[in-house]
Amino acid sequence: MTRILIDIDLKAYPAKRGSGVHVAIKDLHLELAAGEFVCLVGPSGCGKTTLLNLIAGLDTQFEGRIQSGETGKPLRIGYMFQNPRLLPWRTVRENIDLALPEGLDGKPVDHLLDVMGLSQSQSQYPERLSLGMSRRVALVRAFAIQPTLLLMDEPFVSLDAPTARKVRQLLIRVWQERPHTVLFVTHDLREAITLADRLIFLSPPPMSFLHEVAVDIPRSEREKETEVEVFRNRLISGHPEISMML
Amino acid sequence: MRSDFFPPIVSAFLFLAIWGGLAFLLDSPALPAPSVVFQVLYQETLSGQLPYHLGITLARLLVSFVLAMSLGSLMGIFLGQHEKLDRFFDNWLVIFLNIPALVTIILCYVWFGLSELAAIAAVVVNKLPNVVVTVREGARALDRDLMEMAQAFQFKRWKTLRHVVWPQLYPYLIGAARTGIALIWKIILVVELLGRNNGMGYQLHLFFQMFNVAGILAYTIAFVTVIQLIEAVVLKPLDRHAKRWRR
Repeated sequence: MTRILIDIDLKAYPAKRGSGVHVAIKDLHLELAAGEFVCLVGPSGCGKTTLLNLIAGLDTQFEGRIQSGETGKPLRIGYMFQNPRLLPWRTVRENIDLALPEGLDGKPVDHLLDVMGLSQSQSQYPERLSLGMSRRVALVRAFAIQPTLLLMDEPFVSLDAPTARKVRQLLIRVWQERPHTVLFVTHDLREAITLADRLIFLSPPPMSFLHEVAVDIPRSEREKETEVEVFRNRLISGHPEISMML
Repeated sequence: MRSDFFPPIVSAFLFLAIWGGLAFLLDSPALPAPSVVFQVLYQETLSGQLPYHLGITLARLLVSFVLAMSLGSLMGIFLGQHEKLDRFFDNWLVIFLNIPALVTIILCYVWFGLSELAAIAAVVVNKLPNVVVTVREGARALDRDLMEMAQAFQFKRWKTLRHVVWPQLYPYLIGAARTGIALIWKIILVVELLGRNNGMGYQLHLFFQMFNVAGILAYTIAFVTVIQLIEAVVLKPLDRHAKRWRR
């Protein structure tokens, strides 16, 4: 378990016809403690997905570096995208097993499937699943590789409220079983307060660090909507610029 | 009309009955009765003539099919992935798509002589642009989301090809293969007629010169049956396999 340092000096998209150079991220420096659950909150289109793609190594065209603090070893990253991104021609189980790095113990998969209520659906093809189930499969896949860093990109958007709450609870449950660093992107402040140890607010593009808040509500109280609501009101009245942004 | 009153067997018998009736009424060598044709079919099979020529044609079909499919797939995947080259070669494809089959065949024989090589080349050149266009469509439509997923989870090259790319191309390849067979077996007869001294096309030409309509029909029946068998036994199951995961 190590802390993770993210330093993005500049991420810009080259000029295209009809538009100039687009600076997506500028001077963003984050430090994530080992096992910390961090929510990145920012307005839609502020470049949060871009940031996650940089961290995941999907985009290497930027100035800066991303490294684990002590060892400098490459991170093992689990990524839960906004859409489930399952291979439709492979079964649920195959989708998960394919993601496992070679030599990794596959045993936790059975447990994860069990917790997520997917044991019965292992041999199904993803097109036959509901969106909520597909999201849970994607969650299992991201957890199954036993990541040092888990990236989550608004994974519960477009789920109905009860389903989203249920999957959020499952997420916290499996995360507490095997704590690791989580970077969770959302534009929903209530969701962020429910989940995070720490909130980081990001500015509209060019994206940079705006503000951060530790969430001091005990985990056992997070399910109470009043607690979350009180925290949220206190936060917004203390920082009007945040409410302007969201 | 309710279709369950007309199962395939009934419709086949009706077809034979109309054919037989017409042949009886016309009473002309231009339309021999079914019984005559099937007798010729039987004799030609026994004498080994039919299996020999059919075998030759099927061998040519197989070789040119494999060549056209593999070359066409490689070119299609390549063009589908490289936008600039694709735009550059697009006109070439359009030209090749529109050259009449007969022109390619004649040119191949003129340039390469009346050889086996020329025959195969003519078929391949006719089929190739079709495969390229179909497979290119598939390669263009590769799902970026899934490619990113594979990259994020650090799939190795082979794993990505086998589990992410191949299943996306497969339906296009099967589509190209099915239309390919249908196209090639028609062209190959003309190729044989014009420049080979064996194969179905050559035999049909011979029958034509001798005004042997029964022979022509007998060979046609044999050929159509074999092609239908290939379609039903090989291509359709492959197609069904490719769609098994769909809702």
